[in-house]
Amino acid sequence: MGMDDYVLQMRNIRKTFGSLVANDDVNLNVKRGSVHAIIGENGAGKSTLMNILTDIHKADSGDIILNGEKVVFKNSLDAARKGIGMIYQEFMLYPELSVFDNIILGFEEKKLGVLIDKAASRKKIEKICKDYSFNIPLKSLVKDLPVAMLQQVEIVKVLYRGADIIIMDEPTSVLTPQGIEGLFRAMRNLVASGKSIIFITHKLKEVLEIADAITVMRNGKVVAETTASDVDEQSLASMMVGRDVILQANKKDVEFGESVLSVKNLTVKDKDGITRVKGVDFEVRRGEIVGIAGVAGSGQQWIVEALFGLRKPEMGSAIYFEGSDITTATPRARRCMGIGYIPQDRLGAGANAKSSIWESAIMGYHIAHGFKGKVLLNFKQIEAFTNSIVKNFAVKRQKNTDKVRSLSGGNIQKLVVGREFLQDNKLLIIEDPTRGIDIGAIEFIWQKIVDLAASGVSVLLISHELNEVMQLSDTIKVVYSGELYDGGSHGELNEEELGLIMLGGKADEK
Amino acid sequence: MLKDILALVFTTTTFAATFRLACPILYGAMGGCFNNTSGCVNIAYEAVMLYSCFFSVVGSYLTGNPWIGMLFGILIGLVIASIFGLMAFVFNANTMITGIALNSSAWAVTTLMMVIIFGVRGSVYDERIVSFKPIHFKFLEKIPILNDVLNDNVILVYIAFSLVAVAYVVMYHTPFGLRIRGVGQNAQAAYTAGVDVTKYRWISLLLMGAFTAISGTSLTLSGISMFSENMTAGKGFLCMCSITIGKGNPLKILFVALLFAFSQALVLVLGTLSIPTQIISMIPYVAVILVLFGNGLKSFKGTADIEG
Repeated sequence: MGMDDYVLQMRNIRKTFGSLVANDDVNLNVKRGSVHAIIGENGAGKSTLMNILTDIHKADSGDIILNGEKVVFKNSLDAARKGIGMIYQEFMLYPELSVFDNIILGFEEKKLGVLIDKAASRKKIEKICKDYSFNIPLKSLVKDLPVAMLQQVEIVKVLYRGADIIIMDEPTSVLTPQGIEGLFRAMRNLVASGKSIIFITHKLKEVLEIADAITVMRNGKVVAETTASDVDEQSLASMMVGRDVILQANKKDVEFGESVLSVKNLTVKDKDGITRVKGVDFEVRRGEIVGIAGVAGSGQQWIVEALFGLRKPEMGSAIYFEGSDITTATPRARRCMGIGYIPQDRLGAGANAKSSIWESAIMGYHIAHGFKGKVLLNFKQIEAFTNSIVKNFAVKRQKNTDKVRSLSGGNIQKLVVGREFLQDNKLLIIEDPTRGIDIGAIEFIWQKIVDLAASGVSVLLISHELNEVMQLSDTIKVVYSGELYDGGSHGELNEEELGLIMLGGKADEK
Repeated sequence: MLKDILALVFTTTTFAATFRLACPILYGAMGGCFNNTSGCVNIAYEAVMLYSCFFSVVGSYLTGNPWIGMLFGILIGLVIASIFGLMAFVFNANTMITGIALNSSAWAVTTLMMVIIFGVRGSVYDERIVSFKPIHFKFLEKIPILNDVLNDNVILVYIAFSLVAVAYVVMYHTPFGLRIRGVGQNAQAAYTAGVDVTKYRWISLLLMGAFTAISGTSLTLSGISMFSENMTAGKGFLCMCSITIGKGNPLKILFVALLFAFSQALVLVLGTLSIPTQIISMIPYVAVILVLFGNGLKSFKGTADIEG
């Protein structure tokens, strides 16, 4: 077949930012009616390429060929008018406006010259919803809708604007498994009707499931163009990082010491008085990694909050740390005793997006372990500590005074992890340490956790990724409906057996 | 005593005063609701209004025509709004501080100019300052209560109330209003939808300047035909309060503005009783605090919770 085969081609795209080459002779060929995945680690140049396609950045050189014709966009709006629709990772929605208003804003149908023709706009939206099987409540306010629904709103929005090629930037990172299924269904509908989708991600399983063609990027270059049928997860991963990736933790043999954390009959109620944790007992020994697996919402959050002092457990619960009762101690007191905490929500609880990197680097420890004299902060010490995080955890940043939000998600995670790991903590409570970061960074953080345990630190790992718990933990626990079940020791049970417990298999036996 | 008060509160005189006193609040609030909705923190209502009070008087004094006076007011309103926009949008200055500076300047500058131009202190009164004339509707004469409340006001009062409907339509039924709301909630999203964010911010700011200026005109040229030092005395803030409490919705703003106007009307009618004037003068201010308190209560959900 000829050129017509492709709805979009990007040829020899080159883009530099100062001395950094973000896109180096990149070629992209997207077939009409296909899902085309672009994968690569954070900073591989995927976003730059898409920003060039949507005309947020201008390429230094290279051509964009749309429907067989070379095009030069005047601005982002021009790109949108020519049929390129972008769905950003952070939704571009207005929380206090209705779904209807969100969709039409900027592209309103008009009557009498000045008024919005609501009926005509609604008709157009309803036709789109019908054609592509979307079901969205047009009258609801956006702030009242769940994330999966908002994503549908975003898709309908770009279709309303006449998009022919839809770019989705990590669309699954905010979705539940059911939400992902729904999204994939929608994607299949779209390509079946002749739309083309560019799917940016670093989740390999999803690529293999949904993508027709795959372009792999590394360090600003395209390193492979392939199809989903020709590769597997392992080979894709090694193409992405440029070496063989063993998604396996190199665990070391560690002699466990005495009990560091001991939890007895922990019972926690949420603010509505519902019992979320039902009399849980467990202990973590020196140098041991205890992993808690479980389906999201099974009680993990409340266990962690009680352990770190963010929520008061019920009467009768007891938490001992190195023999002393800390059941009612404040988070600050716990930090001073040597308990570290890496929260799941790295921007909400882990770091402050609006603060500088050095401020977030000492957050929580400015009092606990001290970065100050009697009154004033000790900037020499702070600078040295921040630099050691940057060095040891390979945080990519310009300078320590930059804002945290200028970092990518993976780098923020490394900053938070580095802060907790480099303190002389005795116990670390870690929640989802590798959420939303790429394979290279996952491997790195896993290794750090293993090393840390080998040096005698106790780790309580709570993760929604079963594989992570299985790979890292010496002892596995499974939480189901607020109760804790034994998941054996490292390697004792396989994925299916643990999965069954996660879904309540052991609860049924009782 | 209480009987006397109640008898006075619910008379047509009180409601007529309410109708009249709502006018200056409404202009500023209807122009400003777009500015507020576009996400701009602007407290310079007091400044625009006071400058306009003075320049409306100057315009009317020079030409003997209240419409020219209003034009003078609008022009100075646009100038003040532009200074605000220059500081806020171009130089990225703190809008709160810019607003405070403008408000403080208004009192000082108008007082100074009064001395320079008219050579008097305290207040200006001159025969050459001409006000708008009251309009008499014949058809209202037959309707007993409405006649007392609505009839014989200056044209600005009637326009003010029509403006509410216009503002409502613009806010909720035109692309302009929708885009203003979008810009205020997520400027980046509006930008990606091809909306020229800067342009919409400027337009909404100039609307605020022009209409708040008419508020000033209505204070000076609705019959009293005079300017006195700091004569706005917080009316600009009433505009701002109405917009904030009404959450930018012209109909809700109308309701709040009427409430404030009613409390001001009470000051006038209760002044005839033997209640200390200091207490009566407090009414509008207490009303603001009560409304704010009631409004806050509605959204109050207890103290901060770590669950967020």
